[in-house]
Parts: sequence; structure tokens; C-alpha cells
Amino acid sequence: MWGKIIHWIEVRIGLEELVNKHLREFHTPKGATFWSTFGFVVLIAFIVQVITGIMLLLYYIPHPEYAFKSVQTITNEIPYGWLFRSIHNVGGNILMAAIIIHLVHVFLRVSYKKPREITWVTGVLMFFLVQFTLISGHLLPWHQTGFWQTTVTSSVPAFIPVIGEGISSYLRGGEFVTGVTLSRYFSFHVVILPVFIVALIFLHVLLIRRQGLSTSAIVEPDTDTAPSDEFRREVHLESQPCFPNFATKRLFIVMSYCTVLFFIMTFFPNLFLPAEANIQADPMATPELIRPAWYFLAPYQLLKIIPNDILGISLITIFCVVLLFWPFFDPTDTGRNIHKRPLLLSLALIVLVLWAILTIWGMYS
Amino acid sequence: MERRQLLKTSLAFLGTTTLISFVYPASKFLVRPKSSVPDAPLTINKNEIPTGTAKEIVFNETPLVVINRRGSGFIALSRVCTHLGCLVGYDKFNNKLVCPCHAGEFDLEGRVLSGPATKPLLRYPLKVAADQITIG
Amino acid sequence: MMRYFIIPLVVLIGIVSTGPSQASYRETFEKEFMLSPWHIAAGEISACIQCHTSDNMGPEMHEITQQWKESFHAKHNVSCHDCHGGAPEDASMSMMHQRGFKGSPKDLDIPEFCGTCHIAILNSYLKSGHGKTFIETGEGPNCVTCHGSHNIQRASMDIINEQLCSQCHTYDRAQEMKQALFMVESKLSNVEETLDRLKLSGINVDNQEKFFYRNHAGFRALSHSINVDAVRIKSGDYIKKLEIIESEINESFNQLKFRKNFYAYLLLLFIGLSIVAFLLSKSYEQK
Repeated sequence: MWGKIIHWIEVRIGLEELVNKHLREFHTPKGATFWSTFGFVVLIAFIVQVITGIMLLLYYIPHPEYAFKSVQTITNEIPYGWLFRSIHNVGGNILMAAIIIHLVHVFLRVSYKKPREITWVTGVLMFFLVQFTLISGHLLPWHQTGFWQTTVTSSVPAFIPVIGEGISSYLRGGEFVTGVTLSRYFSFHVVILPVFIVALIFLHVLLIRRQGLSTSAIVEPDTDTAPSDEFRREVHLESQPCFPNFATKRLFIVMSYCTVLFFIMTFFPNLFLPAEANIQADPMATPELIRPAWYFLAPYQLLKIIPNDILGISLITIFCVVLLFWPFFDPTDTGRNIHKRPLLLSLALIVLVLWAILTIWGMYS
Repeated sequence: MERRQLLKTSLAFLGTTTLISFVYPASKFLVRPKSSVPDAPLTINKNEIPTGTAKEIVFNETPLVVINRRGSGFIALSRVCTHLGCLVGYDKFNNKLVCPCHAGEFDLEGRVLSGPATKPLLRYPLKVAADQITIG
Repeated sequence: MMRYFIIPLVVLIGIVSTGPSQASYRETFEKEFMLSPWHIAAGEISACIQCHTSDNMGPEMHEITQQWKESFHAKHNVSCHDCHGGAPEDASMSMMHQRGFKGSPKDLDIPEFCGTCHIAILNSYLKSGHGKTFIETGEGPNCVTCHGSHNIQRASMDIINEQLCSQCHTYDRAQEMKQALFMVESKLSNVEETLDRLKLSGINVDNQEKFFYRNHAGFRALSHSINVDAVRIKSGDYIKKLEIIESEINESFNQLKFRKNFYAYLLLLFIGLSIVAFLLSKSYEQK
């Protein structure tokens, strides 16, 4: 029975050739460990967000009068609405964590070097766009937390001289966070940003499939030669077929990701829903403690501790630009083994540690 | 190879169970259930409420007030004040509804006149027949 | 060739000519969308506070504003003009009769002053022994005696204490009242605490909160009657009503338990899947 279905499809699209070429013959290098699967995990996490997002979209009303009530209806009255809302809420946050892990892994593998510069740039662009998606999504339930966090984060661009106020005004649709902001953020979150993210995903994955997964210069030091000047799929001596070897690794890490998701939901269901998230937004009542979400705490804390606003925002902008175009800043003649580049390793570790310190500081200040 | 086959079978089994555990809630999610059965419509005689007076009733477990307004006909409003939930009372001398808790005032359409409330009183559908009023 | 020029021109004129009709839409949009209550009003410190905290005023004035800032009223946006009248946004009209300024009430006027908002409590008080004594003789407790004037906090059972109540009569009468109130009061605080906990778990408790509040307010008004028998008789009713809320609360807790169990069930499934996937991936590993 199953064979008949497969044969029907095979006659029409040549299924076997596709599966052979793209899954079995596509080889992953020897150094493709479980860490290398994190890109795939990010993709799956994003798809989960899209699916749960669409389900929430069926009942959500993007008007300040009704937004909070509609989310409460989803959570309490729609059967299993609480399940999908919770997945979307927690999933968004751990999607961010997965992206950071993926980014750090690629960096430490020095996989951004020629010919993979565009892959890196698209990746970092997606990182920024996903951050904006998360920030815009946080306003949508129209609760105190989201409303006031949005007030704070939409004021950050105002630090930029000359054009800053204009940017903030454009983001908010005015001087204050109002229903216009809600409509705007809704369109950012549901359409504008996802369209760009999907386009970038397409480009990112296309490049990876064309060029093949990068080798680990530590596991296969022989491959750490100067990159060639023409398009070439690297030939790995001890590679494995993507399916089923690497695919099962991917499956394991995706299942672990889901385990983490449901672990948080079972034991810490309100981890990302503080007390004020249950109170409707009240423009007249500012809660005592307004903090941006955890992934935004580091830049926010940096802005707080640097006395000169312009200096603060410039530092952050410069950091973002350097991160985005890092492959072009890194000297081309060095190898890809990070152990042989103590300066780069220390730089990565320092940035990570600083980020962690600023985040934790931001949480408690 | 046997081990691998066993693993593949368990994967298929667990995978299907998990899939069903998501598909079932999703299918229930897509069909919103009918909210709990409301009370049968309530009927009152018109002559129980002379012009300018009001009658307090309970419908759907909610206290309502049915007012016979001079010149504007009957109206059924929820008595639950939209501020904190106290029950408003009909002030026939001043043609308004007043909340005893924080002096919130509403007009006879349910709109806020003064006080801490920001939303109007909930209005209930009302049908006027020959000599009867039906609510709901 | 010309048509490539004419058609866009016609379309453009068509769009521009709908301009005037769009203006009315813009007005409606602005009024209903941008100027609704959830548009932030630019916050201003009221004229009252500005003057009464300035250096021109003596320390008693500063103390009054300080006491108000710590009060329950201040937390709920009940400001000077809400009780004393006057215009909070305009210093020149802030103490004018035309804007309803009442000044400080004389002792005998205090109940009516507070009763401008707290209508039910005033009615109950005026019918009570306390109220009648105060209105007839000018002696006895008024609102300020027990609740203070500016540092008004949330009322609690501790207001009925020996120090306060034995100023005019023996404490045993007050104690009797305190005991009569006790049952309902403790149930009220239990239910309130549970409702808060439920709210933090994401459950929608709007209806229960409103039902709770009006019973709470009703009981408060009743306690001002200082009528121990009335309190005892009505206590049963109030307890029954609170038990209704309690059963709804229990239902909500059961729903929360179901959710947690469902999450745990899915967690176990995924743990199982992870283990199987791990073993499977290991079985494909090249040696």
C-alpha cells in the first residue's frame, strides 16, 4: 500500500532521484557533530512559532479595546488555547536562545570565512529581524508588561542624534504608545518581518546546500587550507550521508529542544509571564519595575551605564555593524582552527562574558 | 540491525502518539464550543413597570435593571458597575443610575456620566410585544 | 502611445479627487482611534500639589501631601480635587468656588464630605449609633476618627481596637462587633488572596472579582451600622455567596492542574522521543 503511493509520486516527480541526490548523497563532513545541527533546530523552532502564531491569529483581535480580552479568551475559553499560547510564548524565548547558541557555534568554528560570508551576513540579519519580531510580538497581548516594555524599547532609537526621534516616532506611530502602535506592531510581527525572515532563510539554506556544511578545522585539520578561488564543493574523505546519519542527529537535538520547551512549560509555566502580564495595559499606571525582555537587557543596560547617550547608542550600532560584516573584518589569510587563534577565541569569550554580565546586571538593577 | 529496527518502530510509535496529541487539541481549538447555555428568555408584564420607574431582575445570573424611560422606551441594562462590580441603583428623581460604592453615575443609556468607571454598562437585548417585555 | 500617458493621469486625478472625502475619515479615525482613553494623557503634577509642596508652605502642608502620597487614595488616582474640588490643572482656579472648591470640611460636615463618593457607607453610618450621636451632639466618631484624613489606608479589622474604641465606651461592645465580623472577614481575605493567585496563573477572574468586590463592599457598609445582630444575621448570606466564588475558584485550580498534567504528558513523550532518536543516531555512527 505504502509502496503504491510512493510509486505514484515517483512517476510524477522522480521522487527517488530527489531523495537520493538531496538527502542520501548530500554528505556531511566528519566533524559535523550535534552542535552543527543547531541551525536546523532554529528552523524548526521558527516553523513552530509560525504554526502556533497562525492558530492564535484565528482568535486574536488587534485593537486596544479587545486585544487583551481576546488573548484571555484564547487562554481560558478556547479548548486547548492555553497550550498553543504557551508554546508560542515560551517557544519565542527559547528560539532566541537557540539562535544565540547557533551563532556562537558558527563563530567558534570560524565557518564564516570565504566562501561563506553571505551565509553569515544573512544569518546575522535574521538574528536582528527575529529580535524585532519578538519585541513587536510582546506588545500584541496589550498587557502592562508589553505596553510599558514597548514604551521603553521604542524610546531607545531616540538616543540617535538628528534622526533618532523620527525613528522612534515612526516605530510608535506617534509620540506615545497607542492603538496606532498596536496596529503597526501587529503588521510588523505577522507579515512584514516574517516575509523578510523567510526570504533570508531561503537564501541561507540555499547557500548551505550548494556549498555543503563546513568542516571542523579541529577534527579535519587537512581541510584547513586556503579557500580556493572558484566554486568548489569540498570533498570529504570520511563524510557521512545526510540521511540517515546526520538527519538522526538533527532529530535528536530537535526532540531535546521540544523537551526543554515542555520542561519549562510544565515546571515554570509563568517564567515569561510576570505578574503584570495578567493586567490590561493602563497608560495611566506605570508599574514599578519596567524592564525589557531578557534578550534586550544587555544593550539596554549598556545604555544605562554609559553616561553619554550618543556614545552608548554608537557603541551598540558599531557592535551590530561589526557583527554583521564580521567575515570582512577578519583577516583572510588566517586558518579556521580557533585553537590556533587565541586572540579571536579570547575576543569571542570576552564578548560572551560581557553580554552575560550585562544581562544579569540588567535583571537585577 | 534488530536493535535499529526496534528503535525505528519505537520512534514511529512515539512519533505518531505525539502527533495525535497535538492534532487532537488543534482540531478542538479550531472549533470554538458554544458558550454555556444561557437562561431561557425572561418575560415581564409591561404594567409591572410604569413610566419613569424600573424593575430589578436577575437574568443569566446577572442582576439587570429594566427601565421604562420617559420618551425613550424600555431598556435592559446590567446593574454591574464597570468600575469594580458593585450594583448600581435607579435614581428616578434625577433619571440616572448611581453606584453606591464610589458614586459612579450612568445615564439611562448606560453611558458614564461621572465617577471612576470608564466603560458603559452592558446592555441586554429587549423585545417589546403588546403588553409584555422579553429579555434575551 | 498617448494612452500610456492618459490612463495614469486619469487614475491620479481620481485618487486626488477623493482627497476631500478622506478628510472626514481622518477626523473620525483621529477621534475614535487616537484620542480614546488608552491614549496617554501627558502627565502633569496637579496645581494643588505644586503649591502645597513648595517652599512657601509650612511643614504641616508638606506633611499633608506626604501623607496623601502614601495613601490608598493616591495609589488609585484619587487626588486633592476629587475630594476638595477646585481645578487641578489651573493654579488660578484651583481654589475657586466656580470650580467646586470645598476647602477643608468642618467637623460636622466630615461624613457628608467623605460620603460624596462613599454613598453606601454614609447611609449605613447615619443610621448607626455612631452616626446619630455625632450628628445630634457633635461628639463621637466620624470618618476621620478611625480612618484618618489624608493617610487613608485600606480598612482592616485592626481599626477596631481597644485604644480607639474605649475613648467613649467600654471595649467589650466593640469586641463583640469584632467577633461578629470575624468569620466573614477571614473568608473575604482568603478568597481575595486565592483570586489574586489565580489571576497570576493567567486565569480570567474578572466576573469573580466583581462579584467578590460587591459582596466585600456590601459587608463593609454593613459593618458601619455598628449593629451586631444585623451583622450576625447577614453573615450567613455573605458566607454562602463567598462559597459560590470558592467553588468556581476550585474549578479553575482543577483546570490548572489539568494543564500541568497535559504539559507533563507531552514532556514525557518528548523525553522518550529524544532517547530513541539519540540511540538511533548513535547506531548510524561510523566507527
